[in-house]
Amino acid sequence: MKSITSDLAKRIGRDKKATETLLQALGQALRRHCGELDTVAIPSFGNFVAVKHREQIVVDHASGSRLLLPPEVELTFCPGGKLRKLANRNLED
Amino acid sequence: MDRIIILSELGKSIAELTECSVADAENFVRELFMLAAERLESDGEVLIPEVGSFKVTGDSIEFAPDADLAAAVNAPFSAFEAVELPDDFELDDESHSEDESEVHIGKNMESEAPLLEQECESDRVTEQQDFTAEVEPSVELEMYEEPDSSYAGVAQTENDVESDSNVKRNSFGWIAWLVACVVCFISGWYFGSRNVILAPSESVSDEVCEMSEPINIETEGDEVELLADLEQEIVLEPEPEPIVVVTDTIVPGRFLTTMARQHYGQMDYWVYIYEENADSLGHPDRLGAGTVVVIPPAEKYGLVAGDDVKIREASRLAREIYQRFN
Repeated sequence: MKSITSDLAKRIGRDKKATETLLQALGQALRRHCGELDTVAIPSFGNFVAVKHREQIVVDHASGSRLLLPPEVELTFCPGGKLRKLANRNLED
Repeated sequence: MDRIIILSELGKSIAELTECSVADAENFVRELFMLAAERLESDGEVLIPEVGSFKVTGDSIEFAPDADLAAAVNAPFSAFEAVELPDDFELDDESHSEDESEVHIGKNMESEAPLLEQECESDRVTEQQDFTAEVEPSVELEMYEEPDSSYAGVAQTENDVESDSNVKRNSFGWIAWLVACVVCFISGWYFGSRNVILAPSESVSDEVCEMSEPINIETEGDEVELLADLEQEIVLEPEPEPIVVVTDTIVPGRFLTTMARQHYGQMDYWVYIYEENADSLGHPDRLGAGTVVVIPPAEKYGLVAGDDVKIREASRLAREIYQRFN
């Protein structure tokens, strides 16, 4: 996939290094907020939601063994209205 | 926990980490995701460094988070691995909540436990609600038992969001505290009086002895007889049974919810284990391996498996616990 950094740098009027620094800061901010199970809402794009899954027991009927899977926090993305329309339009095409 | 971070707050977080202003940080985020949306429209996919990749698949947007970001978000549980359960491990079926699932593989199943799905509109932000509650005073413990297990683990916590009244819990706490004070006072008074009366070397006088009738002692013989009579009248109370404290240790495959299910028959009651040990515990999702926790008796909080009112109360308490760390 083509990187977005250089185009973004032109848009915001900064050099590539400064843009990468901002991207790193965004990553750290997402780590912090989503690590605390908060939702980060980006206007006109979507929400980054940290979903916590409880521990699960997986039963393998073939071998009869049972595994206890530990809890897990998964970072998911919920697209906003604009992106959903885009996806539907893509499906129609 | 359960907060919605809007653009201004995200901008503040980014500004704190860099040298730019909050306005510049917000502008950066807007432009970044506007560009990402354009790329998705034109190319059908986009990669945002440090965040992840987005791809239009069918009628949805597929998101794969950056590996470091995903690992950081799952950091509290990353130390744990799947544990094989012994054959004699039995689950209490009555205590299973709807969210808990047993996934069967190698067998045709009609349905599996669904993952949480959310309808989200990024243009609409919900308001935060403030919840306040009083915390019960913890009971001092007298004895400890040695923990059984030798592993290490991390606690699990709950995310249920419901509001309810805490009047019942507070009243129970106050009544229990009042009863304990009265019992201590009476015991102290009774045994204090008894010690003074039974001391043979001390002379018995109206000031020391708290008898209802005045005592006149003339000879040593009378004194000995009086003490003997008093001993016969006094009925020795049996010593109270020592309080037994149950403890448990956080280990792989054994979290606060697991302990709550085993001891109380309800995973949601993990909050009461946390509250019992709140003074020595930090964030419920970041409890260290080998942490020993005291398991309070179910009677202390009136915990009954399947009690909907108590479960709702537990959910509200879980939220309050997480709010303390916001």
